[in-house]
Amino acid sequence: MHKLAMILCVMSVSLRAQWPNHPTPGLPHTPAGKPDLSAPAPRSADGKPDLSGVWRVKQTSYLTYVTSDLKPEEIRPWAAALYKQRADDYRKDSDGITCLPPGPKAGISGLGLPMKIVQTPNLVVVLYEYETIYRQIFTDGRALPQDPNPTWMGYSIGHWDGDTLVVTTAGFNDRTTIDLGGHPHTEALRVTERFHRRDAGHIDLQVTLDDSKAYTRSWTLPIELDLMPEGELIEYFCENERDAPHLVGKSGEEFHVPAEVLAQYAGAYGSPTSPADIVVSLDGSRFTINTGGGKIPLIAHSESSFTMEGTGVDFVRDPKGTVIAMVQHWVEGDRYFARAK
Amino acid sequence: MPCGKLVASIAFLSAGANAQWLNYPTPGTPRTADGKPNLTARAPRALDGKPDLTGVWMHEITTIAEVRRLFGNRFDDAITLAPPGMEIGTQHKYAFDILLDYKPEEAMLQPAAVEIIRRSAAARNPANVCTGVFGFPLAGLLSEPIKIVQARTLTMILYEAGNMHRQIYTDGRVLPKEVNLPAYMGYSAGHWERDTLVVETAGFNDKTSLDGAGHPHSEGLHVTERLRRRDFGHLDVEMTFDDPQMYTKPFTIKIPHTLMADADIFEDSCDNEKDRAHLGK
Repeated sequence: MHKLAMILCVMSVSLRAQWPNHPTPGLPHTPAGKPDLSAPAPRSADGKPDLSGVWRVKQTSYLTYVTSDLKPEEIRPWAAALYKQRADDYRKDSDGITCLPPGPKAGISGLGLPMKIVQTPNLVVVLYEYETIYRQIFTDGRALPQDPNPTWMGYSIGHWDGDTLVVTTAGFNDRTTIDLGGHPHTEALRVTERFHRRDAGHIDLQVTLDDSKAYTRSWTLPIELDLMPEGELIEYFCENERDAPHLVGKSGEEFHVPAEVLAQYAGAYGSPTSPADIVVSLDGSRFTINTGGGKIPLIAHSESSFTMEGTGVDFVRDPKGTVIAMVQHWVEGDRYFARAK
Repeated sequence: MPCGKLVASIAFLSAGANAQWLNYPTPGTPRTADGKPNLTARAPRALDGKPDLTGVWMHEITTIAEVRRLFGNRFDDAITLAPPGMEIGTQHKYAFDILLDYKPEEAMLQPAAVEIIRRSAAARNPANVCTGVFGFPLAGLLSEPIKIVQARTLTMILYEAGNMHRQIYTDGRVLPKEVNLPAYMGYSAGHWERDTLVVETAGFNDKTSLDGAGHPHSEGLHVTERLRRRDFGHLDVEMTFDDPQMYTKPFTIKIPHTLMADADIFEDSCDNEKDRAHLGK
């Protein structure tokens, strides 16, 4: 049993409940009566695009590993060391364990869960399914506070640049991470989000992270949000503080797997509908997995068991010893991916 | 009194760190000649002609003197000890005891409610500061304001307490007859009766108490709220609780709210690690 898997378990959903399906007001439909996701983006009364809707981040890899586009030397040494320490400690102090707010990674990923944008004339509200929290983006012309008390979620203001809503957020405290893997940030972090609803069903979102005290340069995450037509948020409160005492610290040294064994795992994996979406590769000594949003290190715990940023990954062999599949141990359950032929 | 020992814990129901926007004039606020918000101006209207309930609202506050008058010396320890931001004297009286107006309350309690109060009193541990979730209606009766944001087909209540939110659908949907999995904040649908927003809420779980005294509710709780913005600065809220498993008859509380003009809600999250150190042995 992986201790890492346990961490994810305690971060998992406590309570779920659901409205019966109810049509989302204002959503265009095709003649066949289905939501028309490629219709033009709706507009609000003031003529601006209306971002309102229930959305979900398409790419989840940034949620687990946000620095995949950075070179190692672009992460300042203290930040790299803290990241490694958190990985060694199985991320037992992460905000999800202590039921504290997720900070900037909510804006990057919604924690992989749906979020609802409600756009009103002077205020855009983002309701998150994760922890049933919210964020206010003031669009009434105010400026960011000059020297604010640091907060978990920061202070956000937005303005329109043509059809793009540009949101600037600052005033974070330094107690959260920018991904589930544990990459830190400082109070100097400034996040710029550019929301462009390209059609009814899609928002192109560019998130720029700028924290020169932790990273030598700013970088931008290209993110796509998919509309969840007729979707609704369901309640999700963190009530797992009681689990924290049971979490363990400090892992052992990484298990050493011979390169020739790792090479046997390299290849493409997928589901019947998309048979080669996941790529496992071995470049020199770097053993990684790419689920669509960049390479994430695979950390060995035995010759066949690995973790990608906390999520357990096991490789499966047939009786002859041929690697035929991978199983990912997610919160919602195990996911089986056959090796591409 | 079944709830004599329970009330002290209310001081710890509120929470943590606050932070602040600099004062920024709220757009659309009517002002008097000297520039101050005119709280007795007419209630604003939304584009659809309905009253617009949008604003930051604080419930009427029950002073320390009033707490002493209502509850005698039961809160004297909390009056001394409660940390800044959640002092006694900043909550609403119904946060202490929602059945305050119904004495003797025993007459209203079903045996199931009496038993739950007895058991939870025995199990209560003051060190478990952040283990629970603020439930309804308590989250809106503590030391923190709420913000109502009224959009066309949805009205949101953003709670400062616990940073949580509630959605009230005003798109014509009706409450589901059955809810697969009950929720802390329930499921809410609203409609207008003239200038009053009437909100029906059901589908609660039974994990939270209605108040600091530990008055329970079942999953069968049905709440009707009536929200009326009397004028620009005042919101009258009436809540009727109907839970036949726990109470022999429905009961109603009235909570006047005042607009916090040119202000906003802060961030508030319960940080157990920080508070635990101050809790003593």
